Parts: sequence; C-alpha cells; structure tokens
Amino acid sequence: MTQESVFIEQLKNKKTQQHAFRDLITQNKQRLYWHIRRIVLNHDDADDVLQNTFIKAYRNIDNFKGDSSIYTWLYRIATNESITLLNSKAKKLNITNEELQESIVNNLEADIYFDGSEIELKLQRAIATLPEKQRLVFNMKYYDSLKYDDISEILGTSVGALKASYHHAVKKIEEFLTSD
Amino acid sequence: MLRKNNLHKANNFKIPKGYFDNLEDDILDKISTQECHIPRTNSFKTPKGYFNNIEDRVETQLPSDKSIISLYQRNKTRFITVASIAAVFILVLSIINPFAPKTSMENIPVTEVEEYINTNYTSLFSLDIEDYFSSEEEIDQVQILNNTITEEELIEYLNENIDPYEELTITQ
Repeated sequence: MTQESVFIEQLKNKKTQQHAFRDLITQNKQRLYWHIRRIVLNHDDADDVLQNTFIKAYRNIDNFKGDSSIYTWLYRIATNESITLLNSKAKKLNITNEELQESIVNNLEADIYFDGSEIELKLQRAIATLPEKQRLVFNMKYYDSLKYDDISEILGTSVGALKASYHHAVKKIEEFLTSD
Repeated sequence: MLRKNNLHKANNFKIPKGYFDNLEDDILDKISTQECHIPRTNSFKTPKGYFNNIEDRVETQLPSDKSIISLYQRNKTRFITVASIAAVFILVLSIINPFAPKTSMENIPVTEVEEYINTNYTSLFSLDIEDYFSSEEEIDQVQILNNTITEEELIEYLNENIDPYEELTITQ
C-alpha cells in the first residue's frame, strides 16, 4: 500500500477522518488558494471557493476511487467550484462571462489585496481576454507549474489539446502586452 | 552474476518514474518561459494570517456525523414513532389544507420564474452528478429507464403521430 492510499483510507475511516482531513487542508490550502485566486481574482471569493472545495471533498471522500491522485482531485473540485461561482455571478448580474471578467479586472485597481504595477495589471487584462479553457491552462502551467498529465486529469482534456491551448495563450498574452 | 570485465556497464543510478516521458515538454516549456516576457510575480495579497486558521474555519462548517448517529441509535424506536406520526400528519395536511393559499404557475410572472432559475440553477459538473447518483447501481437504473422504448414502439409511435403529407410542400 502506498503512502497516499494509506492516507485515503484514513480520510474514509470515521475514527481517523477528522485528523486526516485537517492534514489534507494543511497540505493543500496554499496551492489551492492561489489556483482559485487566479481564476476568481478577488480574495473574498477565493476564500469562499476554497472552503467550499474542502467541504465538498469531505462530503465526497467515500466516492473517491483513487483513479487519480488526491491533489488532482482537489484541483478538479476547486476549478469546478471557481467556474460555478463565476457563472453564477454573471447570471445574477445579467452579463456575459467576458463582461464579468472585464469588470473583475477593472475592480483590481481599487482592490486592497492587489498591489500590482501597471504591467501586472495589463497582464491580468490580457489573461481575462482569453477563452476560459486557455485561461485555466495558462494559469496552471505558467504559475502553478503543473504537468500536462495532471492538467489533463483535472480538466478532462487531452494533453495534445492542452499544449496547443497553452501555446496559443502565451502568444496572445505576449501580443497583448507588447501592443499599445 | 556480473563478470569482472562487464562491471563498468552495470547502471546503479536511478531516475524518477516517467522522467524521460516528460523531458521534451519540460525543456520546451523552459525555453518558451525564458524567451517570453510575461511577468511571473504575484501581485495578489491575502489578509495577514489568513492561512493560519483555515482548518478551523472549514471544520466548523462540516457536518458532525457522530452526534447525529449516536442520537439516532440511542432513541431509535422513539425516533421512528415520532417520525411516522409527523409524516402522516404532514401527508394529511398536504391533502386537506384549509390554510393553503391559492397559488398556481399562471399567477407568477414569467420574469420572476426566469430570475429564480437564473439565481438558483447553475451549470452541472460531473462532481454534482456524482453527488446525486452515489452508486453505479442508481446510474444503471437511469440507463434502463432511458432504454425502455423499443424500435417497434418507436416506429408505431411515429406512424401514429406523424402526418405523412406534412413534409410535402409544393412551391411554384
């Protein structure tokens, strides 16, 4: 039995569950938070999504079959929860997802938890113009340094398609940054 | 056993699993990263000490299974009796309810229905579906339900319900 499968057993066992689950949060909270934050951009939303991710993981741990590693499973939940939140916000405001992205980036200028320079703000504007899948792949590859195999498991997309998405995204962002 | 002359050929060095499988990607990514001018700095901040108490905040929101199970087991018979009476009472009240307001879908404006759907229904993800159908058995039942229409039944339905002349349009 591998170390991970022992840990999964502890997560499923009612006697050891609480302690193991606390460890699961401690091990994954930072990287999941930054993954979520780069999708939703705002701290309060990222905090909500992060907590929902762990709560959902807790409720579904008995259904986790171990086909993927636990951290790619958590990434999958976090990604789905982040997108659900964005879709729900766009619906409530009665605007498109593209309009929502633009509005969130515009709010960054006044956000006390963002202190980026002009070029970093422009980078966020560039990322916001990307289609959803390209935006996710770019963040996961460029900032989280995830492997294509892992991203493939998280997003359910082939490695070939991910490579193409990533290279398109990098090209578009560079063009955006070098344009006036 | 290795011969003395071949000793230098034995490879005692190990590499991480799958190292050569991803080598091309790793090198190409490093090249493209070095060549591109996209800043990698993190300008997003969090409130001070934010990561210190996430575990506690999540734990307070988790369902406490143990307390529910012990309460149920301790008062099992009484619990079932009370639940049965309550169920019968609710059933009777739902059939003959003198206080029920007269509401129907016709009285609700379309805009309110749309607003409700937009606010309360978001797109489904595979995990939500997994939540709903917790076992493969349940999914099989749904598949069975979807496959109950035989080809003969379908042809019979089409014969009875489709006007053979409907598709004929004569244009001059």
